[in-house]
Amino acid sequence: MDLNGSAFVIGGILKHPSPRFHWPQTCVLTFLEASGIGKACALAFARYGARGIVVADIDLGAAKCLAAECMNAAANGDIQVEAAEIDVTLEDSVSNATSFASRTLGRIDYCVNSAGVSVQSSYLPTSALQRVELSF
Amino acid sequence: MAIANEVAEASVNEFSNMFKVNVTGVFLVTRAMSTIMKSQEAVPVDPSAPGRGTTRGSIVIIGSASGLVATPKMVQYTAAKHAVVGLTKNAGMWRLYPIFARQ
Repeated sequence: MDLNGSAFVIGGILKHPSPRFHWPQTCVLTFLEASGIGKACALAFARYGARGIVVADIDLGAAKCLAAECMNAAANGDIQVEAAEIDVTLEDSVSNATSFASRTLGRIDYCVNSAGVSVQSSYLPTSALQRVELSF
Repeated sequence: MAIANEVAEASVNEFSNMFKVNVTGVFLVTRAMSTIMKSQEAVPVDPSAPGRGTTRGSIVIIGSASGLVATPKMVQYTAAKHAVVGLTKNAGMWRLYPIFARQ
């Protein structure tokens, strides 16, 4: 698969407890193993030849590290990769980050929103999924 | 490690915070991206397959199996991910401005 568009990837970079919520002393929030999807998507965009990528996360340092990884993994030698900070719960932060991505890339062809928080459960009844029809 | 509680013991604060990130966050990003993509030029989805039409952009929203089924002691996450499914379905109903929203 060859891509020639530009991607904006939000969140899903690290597996770590959310730094913004004040959970009870007895609880620690952790991401499910599914986190890191945003990072995987950004690297895939780079490997398949995207002409530009902006990665955004609540942790700007993590976004910058991922941006550097994307540069190293890029199939397109002229790729442009930038990092941005975003708090998806704040309208102004979302507006600023999306405007930055649009100005930087000129055009956003693919947007992947992987920002989210989860909990660890005792079990996930996957058998319940076997008879679910997926259609959107 | 967090072990989510049964509904009767579930935290109201946790429920609210979960929706802030997983639902409101998805809504705000989808809304902002839809505005930007709506103004972008429509280009062929695949130049080698003109029958696939044109697009102004694609939005991928990461969901969860919890958006389709319920898991014990995860009422806040299940409810939030079910909301994301509905949000994605609505966002994907644009026909006047071809923007693809998929989960």
